[in-house]
Amino acid sequence: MARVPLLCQWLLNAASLLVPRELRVDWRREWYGELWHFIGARLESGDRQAYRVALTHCVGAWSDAWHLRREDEASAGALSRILRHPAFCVAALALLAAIVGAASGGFANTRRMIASLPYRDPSQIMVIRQTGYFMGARLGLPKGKVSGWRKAESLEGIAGYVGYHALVETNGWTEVEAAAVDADFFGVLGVKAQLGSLFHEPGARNCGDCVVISDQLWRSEFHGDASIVGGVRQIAGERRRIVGVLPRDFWFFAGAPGVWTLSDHCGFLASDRSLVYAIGRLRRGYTVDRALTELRKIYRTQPPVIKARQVELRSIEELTQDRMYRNLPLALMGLLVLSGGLVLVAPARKAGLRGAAFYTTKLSLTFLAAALAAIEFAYAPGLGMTGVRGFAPEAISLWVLIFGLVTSVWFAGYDQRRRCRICLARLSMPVQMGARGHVLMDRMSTELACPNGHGLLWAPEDPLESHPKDRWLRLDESWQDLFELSGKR
Amino acid sequence: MGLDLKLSYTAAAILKAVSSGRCYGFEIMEAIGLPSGTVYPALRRLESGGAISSQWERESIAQSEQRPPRKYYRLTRDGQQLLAQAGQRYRLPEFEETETR
Repeated sequence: MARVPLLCQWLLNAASLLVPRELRVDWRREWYGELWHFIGARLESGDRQAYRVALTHCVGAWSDAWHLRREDEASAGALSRILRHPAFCVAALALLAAIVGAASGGFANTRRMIASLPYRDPSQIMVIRQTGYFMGARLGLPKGKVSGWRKAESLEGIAGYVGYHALVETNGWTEVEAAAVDADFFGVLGVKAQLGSLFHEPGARNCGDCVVISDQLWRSEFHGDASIVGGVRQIAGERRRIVGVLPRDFWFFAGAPGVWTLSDHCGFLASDRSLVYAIGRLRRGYTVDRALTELRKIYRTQPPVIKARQVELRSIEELTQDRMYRNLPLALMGLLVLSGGLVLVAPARKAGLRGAAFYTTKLSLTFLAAALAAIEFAYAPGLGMTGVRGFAPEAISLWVLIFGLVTSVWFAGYDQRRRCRICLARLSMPVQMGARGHVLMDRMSTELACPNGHGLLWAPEDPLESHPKDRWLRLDESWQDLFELSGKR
Repeated sequence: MGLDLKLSYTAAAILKAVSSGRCYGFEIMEAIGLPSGTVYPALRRLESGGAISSQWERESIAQSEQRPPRKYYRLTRDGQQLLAQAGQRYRLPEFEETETR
């Protein structure tokens, strides 16, 4: 007995939702019957492709269903009313923002930028580095100098780190970002393990082959198996023991390396002149300037003798949570809630106020989508382990913001011009008059009507300044019956 | 002539297939080699224009053969006239006559 495959049934059922309700049962019955016979006949003739061909026929059912929907005048009228409703415009813009969210893992970078950093008292954590030879470039510091700064009174603690790539033995081999850090690194940040222990905690001190892994690596490659702690794996070319898993919300600059090893046991950091970056915890009561003066003094006197460029001390909050990018989405969301609320609660007679609030809602929502895209796809991912943002991500995010702002203003204005001044529905029935280039009579213009009968708009299309502006003709209630009739047709 | 339908070549070919005894959607598709997404909307247009009419197969027949019922299409009188006119405009494919259900 031939059967209609489940996938075909799903396609037909989904397509049938497009078919007008009164025709739906018949439509589904006809398509199901046809497929049933088609598959049966094909199978009987020994055609192995019967199911695949049936599936391609089902795709045609969507075309058939859409045809019936278009033919249905009531549905076309209802669809037109939905498309012209101001809520549809807001929903479409919200969908744009939602697409950015879906593509970025639920605005992960924006949430990180807004939330407090996952360290103890993050305002006291400083990144220490040297200015480079070219604008914006930042260099590491000799490892020996970082060790020398341990005696600085202005810092409670200091730890060096450097990023690299490593292969991890999982079920196969996985390449991950890794970091070699001093034993005090997590202590300076004030982070505790969610499982096992970190390098500064008892059980992992002076443990050369120990490794700490990120929560993401633990979940994706080790399936969240708690027994992995204490296990030995081939990591970064050596047999190493996994001693701890970092907290789920932990991140460091653009993300979190999957693997953390100890720098003391790293071959490429054996020399005191190897360059590393450093983080330090500023002691309470010390200012950044005072700490910097002390660090520079130690740098000059402490061996090895290396000519210093300008040593720089920057707050990790300042580097990762730029004030403009942090506050912009919050400000736009506030504006959106305020203007959106005003559209809903403003009385109908205050048409001007509602119009202005609707304009602001569109503007803030469009710009919010652009700002979120700039943060998610350019600004936040562009921050390297060094705390330096590449030139391209910085420039791209700024251009996306500028383009987003210009587009938002243009779109909000363009859309607003073609909306009813009373009910904010998109105007319909455009009638074009005149011709481009006529300057005395029959200037090129378009006349539009509110689908709810509130008024008519005469909109000149010629961009000459001497020409008149838009003219809105408000219709009184005596016209309502006519528009209601046309809506029912 | 009661119909004011402008027939495209595709619609005329479908009409021709129906007149030659192809009386349900998939059979017409197979005969003229067009996909379901073209044939079915054309059948709907021809039916709403009065060139063809449709009828469900008797439920008792389908039940006795343990299969779902089928919807059959047949040419109306107006449809025959329309097809004759289209035959003068287009060179329509020839189909082997089959038994009409």
